[in-house]
Amino acid sequence: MPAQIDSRRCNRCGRCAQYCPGDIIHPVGGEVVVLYPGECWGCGTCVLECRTGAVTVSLFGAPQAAPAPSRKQATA
Amino acid sequence: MIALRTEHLDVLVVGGGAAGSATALYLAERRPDLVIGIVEKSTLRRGGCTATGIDHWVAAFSHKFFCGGGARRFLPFFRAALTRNRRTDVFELSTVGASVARESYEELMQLERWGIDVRLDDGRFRVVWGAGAPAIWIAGKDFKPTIARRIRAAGCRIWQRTQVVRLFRDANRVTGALAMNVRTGELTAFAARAVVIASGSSTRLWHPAPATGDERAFDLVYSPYNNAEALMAAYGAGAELVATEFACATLAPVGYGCAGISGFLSAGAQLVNGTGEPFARRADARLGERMPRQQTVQACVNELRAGRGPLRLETSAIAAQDLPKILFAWDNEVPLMRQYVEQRGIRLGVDDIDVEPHLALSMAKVATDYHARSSLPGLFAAGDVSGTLPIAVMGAMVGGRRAAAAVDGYLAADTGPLAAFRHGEAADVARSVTLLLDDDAPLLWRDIEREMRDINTRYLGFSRDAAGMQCAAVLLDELAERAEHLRARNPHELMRLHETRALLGLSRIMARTALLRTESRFGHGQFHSRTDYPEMDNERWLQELIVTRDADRDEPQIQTRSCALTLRGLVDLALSAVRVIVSS
Repeated sequence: MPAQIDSRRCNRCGRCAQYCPGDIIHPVGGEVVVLYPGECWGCGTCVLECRTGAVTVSLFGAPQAAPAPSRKQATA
Repeated sequence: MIALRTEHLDVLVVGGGAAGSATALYLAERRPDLVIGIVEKSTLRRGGCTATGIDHWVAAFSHKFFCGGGARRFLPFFRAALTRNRRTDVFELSTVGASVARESYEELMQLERWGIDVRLDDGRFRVVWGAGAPAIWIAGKDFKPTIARRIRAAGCRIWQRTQVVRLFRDANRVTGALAMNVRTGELTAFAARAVVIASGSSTRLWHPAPATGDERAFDLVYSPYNNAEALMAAYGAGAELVATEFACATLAPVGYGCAGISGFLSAGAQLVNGTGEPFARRADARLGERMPRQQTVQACVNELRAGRGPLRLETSAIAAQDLPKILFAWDNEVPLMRQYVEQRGIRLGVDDIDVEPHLALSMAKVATDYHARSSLPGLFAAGDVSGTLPIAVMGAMVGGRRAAAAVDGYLAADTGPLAAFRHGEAADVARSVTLLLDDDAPLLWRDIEREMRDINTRYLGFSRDAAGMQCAAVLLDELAERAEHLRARNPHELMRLHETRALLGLSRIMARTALLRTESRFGHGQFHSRTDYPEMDNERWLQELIVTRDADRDEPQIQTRSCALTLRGLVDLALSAVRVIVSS
């Protein structure tokens, strides 16, 4: 669920830390760290602000099981 | 020791979301001579519920947008507002709403002047019909960044990452506030001739789903960073609060707290229960999925209680030509929604989406009059934290403009000396704040907040009854005593500590006011479901519960106030009706 920063793609610009509405991402010792992952809303501000595509918010990790078929499909 | 700075302002705006930003901008345009300060807990660019965008502009009642069928569609609403036994709203929403929404077109034009694109490429508006109100879709993805640039250009003074923790007053009026930088811990005392609260709703009162752990503690439908500090600071200073007993409930995808499901329902998606039955028509034979949102949620809760879960949203019922509207909305407001459906493997228009009911936020507000004035001289409120109609950005814009006009009038009439700001009191409060910092903090905010949300979810959530709420009041009082021992290890935790204490204070009020309201009610943003009083009771309860702080006993005092139609409300309603009829 919480934002994750790929350090290989991150250019340390700090925009995610600058604009995170929840103050959960902080610059720490030259790196940018998701310091309070349990307080992430999953709003996606960090994803929008990142210029290098280094930040992702994975809502479920790996894809989940296939969804339930719709009622119409089930009765077709 | 943390340093205390003092700043002198004409006007302090608390909150840099849509309403606070609109207030500051309108005020700067009206009175460029004033020193206007705006304080935001995150940043102006990404603060508030519209942090990542907003997809629509509610245009209800605006005669400029009505086309054929407008009167036929909305006259029943007007009739309901005038007919006592059909009213579902207790804080005069029907009439205030009509007056607010009547200004919708002018506000939309203002938004366009401020640089927000509100039209399609061919210059036309895109009108969509919502679940109860027509809406204009706006290019809201850049709403906050654009407005933030405007505020800077207007010369407002800006404090970001700054949380207001206390309001100051003298014998007669509000004189300023104490605020803390949530990264550095620096404290600032603001001496201000007027203060506008625009801090949004309070969200972290309940668990997002009935049984969730800390990993989903902030997975809420609306911003978990909007909380009750400023609201409770206003209460602490003596302002009246209203609607503290009501929650606002909504539906969200299972496992992802986000707004946007109402858009599916508006577009024609059907709700089905675990047996595959589309149950909405059973709850409201005429409106089905288009019934008011609070009633929809209650219908869902009833299905789950009857063991007919899980609930699913059948997207195959959406007409193919309406699917792009949903995608458009996602891109404007909920950027991760596409990711959600991809990760779940959901094919929009084919598969179902599992949904669950959420208690999204508290409707508690600073009681304000038509002009955004609170019960305390010098204190005003705008947006969701105010008594005006909570209809997204449009309500925020109207509230902001009214607050700006009211502040202008207040300061123009204020020919006396500046209100006495007591620096000594500010220094005392600042000292008490610094004492909360403790590297070895034995009790942290999360522990208390989890317990508070346990109590609220169990006794003040989807099912309320007298015994449960009495129990909740006792438990919350005990929790408040323990919360006196809360400490924080750094300024970030201190921010959360202030939020938790404010939420706990609001919860204690909610337990008392919800107990008094011996009815159930599912009005516009008014979810109050009592198993011991399951019916709406307009004979007795077409009134508001007004809460003020008894300073001597530090206890809430609760009074009732009728919300019968006022003359102004009647005139507004009549004008709106005439405009709709004429334009249809």
